[in-house]
Amino acid sequence: MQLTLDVISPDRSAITRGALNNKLCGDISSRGQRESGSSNRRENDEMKQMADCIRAIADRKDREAFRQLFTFYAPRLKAFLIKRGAGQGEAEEVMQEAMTLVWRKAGQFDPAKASASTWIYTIARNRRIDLIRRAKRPELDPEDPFFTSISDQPDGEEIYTKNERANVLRGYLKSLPAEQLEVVHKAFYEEMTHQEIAAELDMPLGTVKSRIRIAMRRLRDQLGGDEI
Amino acid sequence: MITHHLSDECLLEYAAGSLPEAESLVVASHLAMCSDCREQLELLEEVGAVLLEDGGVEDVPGDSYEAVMAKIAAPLDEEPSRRIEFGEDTLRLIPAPLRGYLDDDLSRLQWKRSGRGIEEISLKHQGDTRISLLRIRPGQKIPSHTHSGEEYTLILDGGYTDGGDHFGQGDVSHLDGTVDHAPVADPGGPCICLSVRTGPPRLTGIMGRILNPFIRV
Repeated sequence: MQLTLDVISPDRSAITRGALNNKLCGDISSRGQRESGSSNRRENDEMKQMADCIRAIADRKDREAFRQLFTFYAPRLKAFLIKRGAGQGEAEEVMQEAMTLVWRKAGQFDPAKASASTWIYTIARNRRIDLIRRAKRPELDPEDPFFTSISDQPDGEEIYTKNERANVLRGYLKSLPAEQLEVVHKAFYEEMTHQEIAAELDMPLGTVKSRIRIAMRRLRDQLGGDEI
Repeated sequence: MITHHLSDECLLEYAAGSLPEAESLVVASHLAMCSDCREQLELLEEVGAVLLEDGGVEDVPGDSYEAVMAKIAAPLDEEPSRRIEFGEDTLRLIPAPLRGYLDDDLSRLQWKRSGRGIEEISLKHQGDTRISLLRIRPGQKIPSHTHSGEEYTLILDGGYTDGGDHFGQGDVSHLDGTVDHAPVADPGGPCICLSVRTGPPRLTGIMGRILNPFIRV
C-alpha cells in the first residue's frame, strides 16, 4: 500500500509553530484561571487538545491523533451538513472528503491564526461548495503579496487567543436577542441568503440586513470592547 | 486607505458558504486587500465554528473512519495545473483569487472596446452574470445607468468619483437596480476595476438612450 509520506513532510516551520502554540496555551491556562469559569476552561482544554492533534498529524502522521479528531468532528460535520439540506449519503461523502483534507492540509494549520474548529469549519464549508454546489470558489492565498503590501496593518496583538475567542463568542451568541440569533442561524444552518431569509420570514430586506448588522456589531463590540 | 468595505450580510454569506461564485470573487479579492474585512470574516467563521461544535451530532457508520484512511492512503489525482508566468504589473494589481480567472498575463490579454473610453476583458459570462475587468480612460464620464440586477465594482488601480463619493484602490461598491449612477474616472491614470454584474444594464439619461445599442456598461 502506498502511504502518504510525500504529502506532508514535517519541516522547521512546524516546529516554530509548535513552540508558538505552547506559548499560547500557557497564556490560556493563566488567563483562563483569572477570567473564565470551569466549563470554559474545559472547552479551552478540549480545543487545545484538538489543535495538538492537528499538529501531531502534521509532524508525524499520528493516526491516533487523527482518530481523536475524527471522533469529535465527524458526527458534528455530518449533523451540520444535514441541517443544510444534504442527504445522509451526501453528508457522509462531504464529511469524509473534509476529514481527508484535514489530514492532508494539517501542515498548513496555524493555531495563532485559527482555532481547530474554525480551521476545520472552513475546510468543510469549501469542500461542500465544490461537491454539492459544484461551484468554483475563489480562494484566498495567504502567500498573496497583497496581504503584506496593500493591506494597511499586520494583525495586531490580541487580548484573547483563538481558543478563548470561541468561548467568549459562544457566550455572546447566547445573549443575542432571539430575532438576531434567528438570522444568524438561518444563514449558517440553513444556508440562506439574506434575500431568502427575508422571503421566508415575510420581512422587508432592510429589516433582515439591519438584524444582521446589529448582531455583528454586538459581537464585534463585545469581543473588541474588552481590549480597550 | 480603503474606505468602502464589504457589507456585513455579504461577509456573512461568504462565511456561511452561500454566496454565489461571482460575488465570492469580489469578496475574496477585496479581502486580499483589506485586513479590516478579513478580521470581520474571521469573526463570522468563528461563529460558524461555534455553531458546528454546538449544532448536535449525527451517527457515523462504523466503517467511515476506515474509508477516510483509505482515501488518505490513495494517491492524489493531481489536477493538471496551468502555470502562467505573471509579470510584475499583474502581480501588483491583481490579487490571487482574481488571478485564477485570467487566461494570461494582463499585458498579453486583449482589451476590447466596450463604450466610449471604456475597455473590457470578459472573464466569465454565465447566464445573466458577467465577470469582467474594466479599464476606464482617465477623466472619462460613464453614461448614467442602472442595472436590472446588482453591480459590484472593486477598484484595482486608479479611482473614480460617483455621486460625490470617491472610490480608490481596494474600495468596493455594491449597487442594486434602484441606483442610477454616472461615475467619473479620476484624471491621471486609467481606472482598472473588477466588475460583476447580474442582469443587463438599463441605460438612463439622453446619452444613454443614444448609446444604448452600442454600449454594455
